[in-house]
Order: sequence, then structure tokens, then C-alpha cells
Amino acid sequence: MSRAHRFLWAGLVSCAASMAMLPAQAQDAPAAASSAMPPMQGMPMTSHASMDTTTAPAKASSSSTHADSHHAAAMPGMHMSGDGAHASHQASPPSTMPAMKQAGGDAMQGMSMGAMQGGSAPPDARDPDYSDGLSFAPDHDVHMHGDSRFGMLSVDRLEYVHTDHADGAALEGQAWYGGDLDRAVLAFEAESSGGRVHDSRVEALWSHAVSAYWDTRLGVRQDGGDGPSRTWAAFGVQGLAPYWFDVQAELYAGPSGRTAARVEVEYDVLFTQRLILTPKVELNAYGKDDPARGIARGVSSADMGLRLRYEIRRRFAPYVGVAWTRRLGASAGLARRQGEPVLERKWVAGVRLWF
Amino acid sequence: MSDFRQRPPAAALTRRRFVQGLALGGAAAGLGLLRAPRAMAAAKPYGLAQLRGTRFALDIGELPVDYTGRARIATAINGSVPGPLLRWKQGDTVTIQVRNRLRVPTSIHWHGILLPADMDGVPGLSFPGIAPGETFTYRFKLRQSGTYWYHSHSGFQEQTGLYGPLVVEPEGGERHPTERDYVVMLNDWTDEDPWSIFATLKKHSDFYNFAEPTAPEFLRDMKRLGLQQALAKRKMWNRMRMSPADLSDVTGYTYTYLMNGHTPNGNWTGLFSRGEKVRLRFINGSAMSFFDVRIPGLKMTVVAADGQDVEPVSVDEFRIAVAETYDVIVEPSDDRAYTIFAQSMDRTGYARGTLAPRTGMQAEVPAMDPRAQLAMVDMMGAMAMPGGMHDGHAMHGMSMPADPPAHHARTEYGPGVDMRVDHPRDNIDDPGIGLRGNGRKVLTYADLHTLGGPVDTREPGRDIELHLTGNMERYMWSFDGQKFADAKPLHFRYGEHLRVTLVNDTMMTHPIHLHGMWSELEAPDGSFQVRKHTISVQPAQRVRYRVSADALGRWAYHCHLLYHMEAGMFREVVVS
Repeated sequence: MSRAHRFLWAGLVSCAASMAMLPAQAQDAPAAASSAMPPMQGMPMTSHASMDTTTAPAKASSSSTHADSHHAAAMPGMHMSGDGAHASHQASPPSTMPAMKQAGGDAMQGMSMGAMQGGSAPPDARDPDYSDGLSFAPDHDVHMHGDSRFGMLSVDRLEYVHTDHADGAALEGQAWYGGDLDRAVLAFEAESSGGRVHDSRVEALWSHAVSAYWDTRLGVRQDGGDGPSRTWAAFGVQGLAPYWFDVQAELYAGPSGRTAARVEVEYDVLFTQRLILTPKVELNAYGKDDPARGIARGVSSADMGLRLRYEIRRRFAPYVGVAWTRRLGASAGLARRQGEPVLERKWVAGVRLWF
Repeated sequence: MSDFRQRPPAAALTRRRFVQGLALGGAAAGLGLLRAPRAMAAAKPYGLAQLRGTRFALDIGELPVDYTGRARIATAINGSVPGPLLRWKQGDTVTIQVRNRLRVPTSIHWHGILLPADMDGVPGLSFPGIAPGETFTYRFKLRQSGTYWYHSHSGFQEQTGLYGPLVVEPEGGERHPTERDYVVMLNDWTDEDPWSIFATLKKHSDFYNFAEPTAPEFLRDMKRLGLQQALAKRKMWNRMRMSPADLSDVTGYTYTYLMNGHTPNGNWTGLFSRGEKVRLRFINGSAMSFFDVRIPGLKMTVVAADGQDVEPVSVDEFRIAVAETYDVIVEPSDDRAYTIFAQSMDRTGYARGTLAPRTGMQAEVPAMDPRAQLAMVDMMGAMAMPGGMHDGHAMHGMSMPADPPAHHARTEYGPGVDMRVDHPRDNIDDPGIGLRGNGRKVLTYADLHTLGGPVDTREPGRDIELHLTGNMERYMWSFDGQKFADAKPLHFRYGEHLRVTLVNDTMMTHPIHLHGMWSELEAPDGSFQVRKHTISVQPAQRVRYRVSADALGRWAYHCHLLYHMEAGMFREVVVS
């Protein structure tokens, strides 16, 4: 490997590491995603329930009540803001103020944020019902005012792919329809070379918003391409982690005890308002060997991409980029035995568009 | 007494083909991109038609317009955008027959006018709306005077041109008689279908924002401030997934800003003779745009806010929120033209007109001010203000404020709310983002004192606290985290005097409008400040105002940013 490659791989590994950490830090449910595969039954609902927190690093125990999850475990500064906010009709006791002032910048920031985002309602939270039992005007639904439905098709990658071995094409994106909180999602990804689709993934999901920045997703996934096709039940989370990382993490369970996991992290670097570099990392892992599809148990592959797009229009952005696919662990051995490359570099050019 | 003429400049009439938006302007015409015949065919009214009396017939219909070089269909009243200036007289009972010639239902709401609930023009609350082909007759007595406006309360018609100015002349004559009297109505026009704007915002809420922080800016900051400071400046925003550039959702990227229906190049002009007093009745009839208004070379004396006379206050500049009105008096002493300059809060464009002694004159159009970024006070409220305003990037000197904390509703902890402010700021003397410390005397709410005191002198009997909430990423907007579709009505008991406390838990400024009753803003010390129909609440700010629940019926209560309202920042108020 050249020096440049080594540098990139160091980057990839640290990205992968932070990727594993990020969602876990961000909140509960992704933490579940990084643990061993739990059984699928009943999982979505419990996770929905536990996912109403976002940033506070203190959210380790999702089952605890408000009092401990929101206050007790937090850093000292956070107490005060939290208490100040929720102890309804009292100003903060003066005795706490010196401590507050001593807190350094970082501690202050951590404290403020913990209180300002996410969390669950304290027991003494204000009741927003000022109706005195009155009901709506009979023509309430004349107004939309909040329950409209929308649909979107977004193609994140529609690209020409050039490798040392072959040229091909790739497509990735999703379509959704629904309201603010619940949406039907069709996610798709396919790669072809030599006019033949050798790998594809289609997921039909129900997406449900569980906190300000996170949705859970539940549905089915179908893999196609080389080897036998595979069907999975899918559960995952999708959202925006602190510092603007777009995160998708999904767990899959299929027949004959197959399990799989997929994590994808993306970030936008704005050079200008229209020239945007997007580094992206994707990891795939499997719980069981699937030699017919070139997959061995464990973390099977990592993809890293750098795509530079220019938004001629917000909805239409051509891009160029470079991407690497690295087979890992036992899957790398499998690839070697089959004479396939363990590391593949791809030059890509395509468009990103949405409607 | 006054010259009420809204006469268009002759020069503009001969140049009607060039009534273009700023971006294209004459350039498009010069390049031959503009198809002249089509542009000519698109009838574009000039000035404001004026109707007076007690009986009015208004026809709502479609009108071809061309503001940008592209022909579009507007919704117009009596064939004009804005609709005609209605001049009413306090004490009169007016009858307005509104005929709907559209293919969809419509309505007209008389913004700021006290009237019976069934005359308020809000479909679903006041009445069923006006069906296509039907005529609805409004009839009510005018108990007040001042500058107001009217607009559709149906769908997005307010964005497509269905608005017009209203002036109710006081029974005893104007408190400040002037030789000239002009309405200056500001609007934001888009060639896009408003529904498509709304859908776009739901998909990518930053679609219209071309001022997001970039990597090169970070590098520049790093050179200037050092790595640590540059990171610290961004840390909190990025960690919270908030953008300090988030000043407005819809910008000059799609909007052409209009003054009395004229684009900046169209240059609406009001005439004066040297030494005359000129009253300018500013009305912000925009769907989404706040304007910062000034007339370089002239001091403006603000004499009324939202139609209500205030103690005159002399300023260089004022911010006018969506749906607000301000009456100012200017006295141009020189025989020259003056530019009326109304730049959008996000500095992505401006509306512009001219005051001139003769038609065809124009003055220099100033450059727009630099675009500001939100400051820590806009996120942290009182926590970030140690005795004064400063765009502090670090958190130095923060102290626990003495003001009582906000009380968040239990419904504020869901997916529709991306932040909550525990310690909002009560400083109504803040001119707002982009106007702080600009070297000019800028109007704030603290400068406004309604003459004659409050309408109701009783102490408020109870308090209602409501939080302005939203999620920018999802483009959800609500009160207390509850969209209109999910929220119960607010009950005001007939005859009571209550205090409404609004806390802005978002980083946007929201103009909140209560129908049917006045909102009487309190100073931070609880004393009466100013009577308004629309109260603009800045990010992380708390305002308190009193409402005398003296108007029976069902009333609308909402953010007057059109897309926020449509997203759910709307409540029904029942007075019974």
C-alpha cells in the first residue's frame, strides 16, 4: 500500500471508530444497535419508547425515570439549569449561583445543551391544556395547519464507476411519503458492472420520528445480485447526530438465524454554499457465514467515499469522487481465495438529485 | 387636509417592461431574454387604487402579472396587487361585498380590526369561507382608527397577492395632520407555487438559505482567532445541530420584494414639496419577510404602531415584522429625492421606493448591511446577557439571571421541538439580530408607548404561558410542541383580563397575531408598554401581554409567518 493509502486507511479506521461511538453517545437506541443482536420481536416499540433523548451524555439508562435520567446522572452544572427550568415556580436558589459562575466554558455548554434539547418531561411540567374542556370549532379540519402529507424521491448517487478491473454504475437513494412523524420509506441501492447488477439492496420501511433528530425504521430488506437473494426483517435508526453527522444504523434478521448490521455516516463540508464535499463511511457486518454471497461472519466490508458536488440547483448536483471498498476479516480471506480484490478503488462521477 | 393621492411616477409607466426583479432587472431585457409582448400583456397595476365610503364591492380573481420576466398568475382584488386601499371612517358601519371569481374557496380577514367573530374572515372559525362563484357580505362598525390591512386567510393566497391596505380615519381628524399621506405596503413575491415552497421546506428546510457557515470561513476565523476560539465559536451551534445563519426560511433566492406592488427597479415614488410633512403608513403584508426600513437623509418620527397612536419617537430605522404596521412622519427639507430602503432581515434583497419632489427622480440606493449571524443571546436568552447585548462567542461572564425560568409544557419533549430555552430574556429594548449596535437609532418595542394607556386597567386575573416551538430540520412549527391539528382550543373567559406569556423556544423571530382582541405588551417591570395586534417575539425572548377577553366567539391565534402557520403554529381561541 502506498503512503497515501495508509493515511486514508488510518482515517477510515478512526471514522469507523467514531461512527461506532457517535450514535451511542448521541442517544440510547443506536447504542442498542451496537450491542449484540437482540431478538427482533418487540424491539421496535421498546426502542421507540426509549429514544426520546438526544444529546445529553448522561442518558445511559433509558429505563430510569425522568428524575435520574435527566438530572442525577448529569454533570453538576446541568443540575442547576435543569432544576431551574423545571422547579416550576421558583427561581434558582441563590446558594447555587457561585458554583454556576465557577463552571468553565465547556461545562457550561454541556450543561446548557443537556437542558435545552431532548430529555423527557419532568413530572411538574406545565400542562398545555387551556381548553377548560371546550372542543374545537365544528369546521376544525378546514385548516391543514400541520397535518399535510408530502412525498419525496431523492437519488443520492446515480453514478458511473471506474475501477482497475471494470467499469460500472451505481444507484442509491430513497423515496418517502407521509407526514411529519410517520413515513413510508423505500430505500434502494444497486451496483452493476458489465451490464449486470451484482449487488442490490431494497428496503421497505416504516419510519417513525421518536425525537427531534432521530427516526426509527422498521420493515423488510431484500438483497439481490450475485448469489442467492436474501430477505431480512429490518430495524434501525436514522438521524442527525450532534455536529451534523448524518447517521443510519440498521440491524437485520433473516431466516435460518442470519443476522446483519449496517452503519452509514455522512458529513457535508461546505467549501461554498454550492460546492460541497461529502465524506461517507459505511460498514457491513454479518452474524453468519454466507459463502454463496461472498460473506463471512464478522465485519465484512467497509466503504469510504469522498464526493465533491456542485449544486447547480439545490435539486440537481453533479459530482465527482473517489471511493474505496475494503473487505475485512474473514470476508477478505474469502475474496482472496476467489481471486477478487480485497481493496478496490473506484473513481466515480454522477449526479445527486431530488424532487 | 391631506393629499391622499397614490400617484405613480410617469417615468415608471413608460418603463413598464422594465418592472423587473432585482436579479434579472434590465439585464435580462438588454440581452433580449425578455419576451416583450408577453410582459406587456401581463397587466401590472401601478400605485394603489383607492376606495372610500361605506359600501364596497371587492372581486377576487386571477390576474396575470410579471415581476421577474416570467409571466405568472396572481390572486388579485379588483384586478390589482395589492388590492385597493380602502379608506374608512371611524364610527361608520361599512358593508363589503366580496365576490369569489376563483376556482377555489377564498376569504378576507381584516387584520387588526375589532369586529364580531363572524365577520373576521377565517374559514373554519368565523365562517365557512367564500365558495367559488359566491359572494359574502361583511358588515361591521369601525370602533378604531389607524393603519391596518386585509388579506386572505385561505391556503397560501396571501403569498400570491391577496392582500391590500386599510386606513381608518379617526373621527376627530388625525392627531398629526400632514400635507401628504402615503401607504407603503411591503410584500414578498415569488414565481414559485407556494405549496411547492412549503413542500420543499419540509424536505430540506435550508433550501433557500445560501449563507450557511463554510469551511473557508472556519479557516479565516482560525487565522484571526486561533484554533481554540474558532472551534469554541462553533461548538455549541454544531453540537446542537443549529445554524447561526438561520435567519429566515424563505429568502431573496425566490422572493422579489415589493413596495406598493413595485419591484425595486419599478421604484414606487411618492411626491412631496419641500418643507411638507409626509405621513408614510408602512404595512408589512409579506408572507415570510421581516424588513429593516430607513430613508437615508431623513429622520422618521414614529407616531403609530399597529394602527394605535404612540408617543412620537424619532428614529433612523425600524424593523417591521410580518403583519405589523408603523406610521412615520418625515419632513424632507431639501429639493431632492430620498430612497425608502427596506432590506430584508436576512439581507438577501430589498424593497425600494423613492420620495421625490418630481416624478422620475431617484436617489442613491444604499448597499445592504452585512448579514448578521445569530448571537448567543438568541439561543441562550438571559443566560448569555451579562448586563448588555454582545455577540459573545465564548461564554465568559455568564451568570444566572434573576428572571424566573420558563415553564416548559410536557408536550415540548417530543420530535417537534428541537430546543427549549430555560432562561429566556425579557429585554424588549433589543432591536434584534442584524440591527444591534449598527450606529443608527433603531426602534425597539421599549420605545413604543401607546397614548392613553391600556384599554383595560384591571390587573390580569390569570396567566397563560405558551411557548413558541419548532423543529427546523423537520420544518415543524407549533405552540407548546402541539400543532394546530393536535391541540385543543385556548379558552378565554368572557370578560376576563388575562396575561399571556410567550416564550420563544426557537431561533427564529415569530410575529404572533391574536384576532379579535388587542395584545397589550407589558414592559419587563409589568407596566403597560404598547397596544398591538401582532407581537414579534425574538429568539430566546419572553414577552408578556394583556388581553381583555371582551369579544365573544372563536378566534384565530397564530404565527403570521405563512409557512409556520400552515405547519401548525396556530391555535383556536374561544371566548365564552
